[in-house]
Amino acid sequence: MSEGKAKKTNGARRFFRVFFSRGWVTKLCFGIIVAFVFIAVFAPLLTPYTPYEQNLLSILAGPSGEHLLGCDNIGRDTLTRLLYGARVSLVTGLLSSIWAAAVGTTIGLIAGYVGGWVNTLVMRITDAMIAIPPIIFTMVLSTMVTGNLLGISVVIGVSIIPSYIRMVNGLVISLRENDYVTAANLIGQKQLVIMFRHLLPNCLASLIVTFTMNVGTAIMLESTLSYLGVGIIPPTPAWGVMVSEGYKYLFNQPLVAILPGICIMLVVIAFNIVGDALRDALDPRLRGKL
Amino acid sequence: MKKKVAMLLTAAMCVSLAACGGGGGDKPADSGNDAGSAGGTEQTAPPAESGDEGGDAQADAGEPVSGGTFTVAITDDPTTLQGWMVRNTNEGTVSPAIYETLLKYDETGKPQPYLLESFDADAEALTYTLVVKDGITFQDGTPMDAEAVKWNIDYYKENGVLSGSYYNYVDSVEVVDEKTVVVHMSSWDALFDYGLARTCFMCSPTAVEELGPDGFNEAPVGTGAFKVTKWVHGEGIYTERYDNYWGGTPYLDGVNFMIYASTATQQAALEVGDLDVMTLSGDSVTADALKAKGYNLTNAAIPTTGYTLCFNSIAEGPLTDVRVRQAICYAVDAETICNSLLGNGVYGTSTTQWAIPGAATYNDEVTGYGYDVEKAKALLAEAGYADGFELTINFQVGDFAKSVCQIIQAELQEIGITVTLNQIEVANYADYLGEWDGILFHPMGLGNGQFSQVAANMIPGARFGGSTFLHDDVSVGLIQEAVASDEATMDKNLKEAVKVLFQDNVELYAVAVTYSTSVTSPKVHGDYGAVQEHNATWNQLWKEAE
Amino acid sequence: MGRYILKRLGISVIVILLVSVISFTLVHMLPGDPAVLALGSEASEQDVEAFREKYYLNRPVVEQYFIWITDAFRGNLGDSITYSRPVTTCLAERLPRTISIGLPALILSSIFGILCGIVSAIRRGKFIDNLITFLSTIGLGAPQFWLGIVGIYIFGMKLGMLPLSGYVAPSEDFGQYVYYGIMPILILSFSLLAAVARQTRSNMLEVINQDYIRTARANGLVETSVVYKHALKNALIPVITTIGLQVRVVVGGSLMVEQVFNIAGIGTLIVSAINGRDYMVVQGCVFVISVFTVLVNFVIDLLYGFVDPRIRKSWR
Repeated sequence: MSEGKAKKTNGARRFFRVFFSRGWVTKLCFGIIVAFVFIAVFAPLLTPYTPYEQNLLSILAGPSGEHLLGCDNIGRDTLTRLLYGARVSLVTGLLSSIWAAAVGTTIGLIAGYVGGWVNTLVMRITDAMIAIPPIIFTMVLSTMVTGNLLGISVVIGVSIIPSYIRMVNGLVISLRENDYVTAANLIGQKQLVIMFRHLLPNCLASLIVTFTMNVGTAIMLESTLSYLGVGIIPPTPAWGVMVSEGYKYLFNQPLVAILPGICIMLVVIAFNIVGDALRDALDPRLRGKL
Repeated sequence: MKKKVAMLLTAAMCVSLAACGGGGGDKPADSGNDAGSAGGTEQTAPPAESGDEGGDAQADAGEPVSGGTFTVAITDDPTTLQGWMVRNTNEGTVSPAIYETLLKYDETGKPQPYLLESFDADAEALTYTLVVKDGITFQDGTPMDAEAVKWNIDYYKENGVLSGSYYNYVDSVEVVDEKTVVVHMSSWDALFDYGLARTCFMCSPTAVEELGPDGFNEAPVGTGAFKVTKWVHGEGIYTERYDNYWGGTPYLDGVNFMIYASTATQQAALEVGDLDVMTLSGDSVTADALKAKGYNLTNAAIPTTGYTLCFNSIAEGPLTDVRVRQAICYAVDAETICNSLLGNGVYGTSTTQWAIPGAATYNDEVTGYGYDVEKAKALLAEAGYADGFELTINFQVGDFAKSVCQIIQAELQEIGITVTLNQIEVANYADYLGEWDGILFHPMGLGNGQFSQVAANMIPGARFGGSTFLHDDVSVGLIQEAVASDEATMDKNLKEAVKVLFQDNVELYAVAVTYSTSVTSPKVHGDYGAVQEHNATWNQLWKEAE
Repeated sequence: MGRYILKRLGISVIVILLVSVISFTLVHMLPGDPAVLALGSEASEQDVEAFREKYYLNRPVVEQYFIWITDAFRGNLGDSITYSRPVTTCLAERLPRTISIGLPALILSSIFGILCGIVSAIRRGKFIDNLITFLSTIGLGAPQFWLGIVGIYIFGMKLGMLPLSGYVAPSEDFGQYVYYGIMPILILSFSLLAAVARQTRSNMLEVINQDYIRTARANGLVETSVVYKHALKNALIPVITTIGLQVRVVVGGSLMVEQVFNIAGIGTLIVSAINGRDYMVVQGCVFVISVFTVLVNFVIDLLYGFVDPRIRKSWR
């Protein structure tokens, strides 16, 4: 009992050691994610304005004591909208990635393990879906949903499901040949146990990498859709919407378009680098090497 | 008073313009100046200012220079260049350089003879006599004569999918002599002259017959100052000057229409000299920024768009109550919207109807609904909606519409109405015209004259059989009667209909009327977009040598 | 081996058929009436009916599909509804432009991505690793249209080094092609680089720690030769898939880059076709792009089987 506990804390300690072994970059990115989650949750407490409040006298105003980052094209406080935007972007990014991961992994795992014609069919459909560029796919799909968080998340999720299916499936097929799977089969373990206890953990490292990449992809797809006018609808303060609204005034008041762009970038980068670090820390084969 | 003088001046100007049009040598006096003041509002008259700047620059520039190409921005590949199919903005930008019309709008939006020497109707307006000007040839050498006019009107009646219905009442076209055509009408048609000015681009009959409609699409031939040399799909359209242009050989070697998808890239291209002109509408920020950098701004004399809240007053819900509609009008601060987004009236104005004060079609009896939140709240309470309700505002994708709808959304929140915005793709917009939920924020095109647009778009079954968005029987009846009667009844009925729609029944609420502003580099001289957006005195345009 | 290739080819044909079904369904889910759209709300009932008849829009959907797919395999993708020209003509005009921007971007990003990934893996945790990861993730994190606009703002407007937009075909004037194309190509490859670099790095790390590499090390092989000879071959297999997947990302990316830099390629064609509900063009474009991706994946599958016998075995 106590031995197990010690092992656990030991493991946790190792995890954190490895996780932060990449130095300040990981720490910074981890900090960014923590900050964004914090901002997303506590946005209303951080600003005296609401993201919808307009002052038509300060259209595209520059930074001032009253409006720290200036105002947008209908006189709303840019900083406030950025803070609330964290909420929208993180929710869209996470929601679509989670639902895509759940669906994609399950399909990929089962199809890969069962094999045969089921796998062939699933993989052919996946191939066909993958062959269609995601922006076009989501653009067409998004014309069918109203531009709210849920609708757009579902649409974006659909377009990234194939990447999970393919990745998990590929891994499962190569893992299936491994001795321990054959062994597990021989000693008569249940199919589901083999799938979820033996195969899934082996996919976890790659899943995490894919997941973090996809959170970024999803946030970017959302901004791209909004930029093209088929994403989140105004006045919801999504960063993508803000870029597309401010982009028109780039040469006159660059802050409005550039700031949300930087936010998108920071979040995507943070998710990617933290995901990378997580991968290093979680991958059993890399453990003890450091 | 000042405004009236300006109007008179403008009217005088266009008469003289029309008179000397045939000579072609005279430089059109800075119509921009007068156009500006005609379009201005009472509070300020800044459009004149921008016009003056243009005038000064012109005076300093000295003698016109030949040569150079002029580049105009379009946002996407035109869908067609066949004159009889032209409908959208991008085609409308390209076409006026290639094609010309028999009649052309003056500053007040009235059709005047252009390719014609005279355009006369008999007393009942059942026959029109058209006399073509001398010396006009198409770009392929075909003479622009009575035969060509007959061919075009017949062809438009037969093939013009969009404009064909403009010639529904044309019974027959008769060639009297080389220059004279008589058009026989089956009944009085209020829109015939508008139709000729709006959509009837004269195409070369020989070219259409030789190339076929598809071939003609790639190599259109009109009477305009520039002929198409190359259409690189998705990139742009290249033209060269037509040396035998009836108005005099153009100064420019060619006009190119290049695709720049967004305002930002257009602005950038203009600033580095890749573009010579861009057209702005409802964007005072960009316009002011470019003005500050020394670019010339010209407002089109004919207002471009009337942005309007169209209430669905027949579907079950709060909007059936006229008090609710009035309350919404009182809650919207149109004047502040115009002041802040349209540069204090420079690029557009708040008005009570689809016309600006002083225009011929303007009805003074329509006083509109000012901004009064307390009154709005009282009316809502009276109607039984003191706690507000939920409402949808539908709008077509577009920067100005998006901004305005968000402002209105916030303003209606003040009186307890929670608004959901529904952004409609351009492609889907037609579906909404007949039926929509709540309010439709409609950009009413005014560029072809208020009457022509109202009658063409909004009378159910009267003309086009298309969808309509009028719900009030009284006004529909009035307009229908106006179209089918005679000139005097038409003017009277139309004004009455406007009063019913905008004042008594509050079916419509005009938020703003915008002007189209063409921004040209200081090196460019001549008229571009002073009268009607995208229209220029093409052969007179010139560019200072690099 | 011949049987393997044949089998893969058969599979590709099935996928192409599935793609045709998906793209057809997808496009027909677009809301809005193409007839009203093309003719305007002012058009008369007869005109609308004639239009529907002309483009088979009044037939049952399944029949429409079969008409379309039979014609498609004969090389006829129908006529564009908005432009009234054959879709194949539209594609033929624009495809070279997209390829001349997308292909260099794909090649550049693959070469530099693999190099960066290898360096990153070898120098794991070092400064250079952090720097590479950071830079490549910037490419991944910044929206392409935004990068494009910032690029235009800095290099075109502020520094005046590069043109703002436009395109010159390489066959016309290669120097001008590079001058106009460099910014779109670099921005596109910049955003593609990260995926390749990350995949390479991950795989390298995975392989480096596998037993046979440890054995090789224990046997006293020099570090660099271990890395290159053994690790690289195994690490690059999944990277090939990543690059194969990049093909569709290139198409999507070129959509944004073309929009910003005014290049009349497939991307701009699709965007205006989706907005204009031009069924035939969207269908045709999606179909052609997808067939192209499928064929690329076919080649990659062959390569895959070539380098990894275990995969090949599973197909026998």
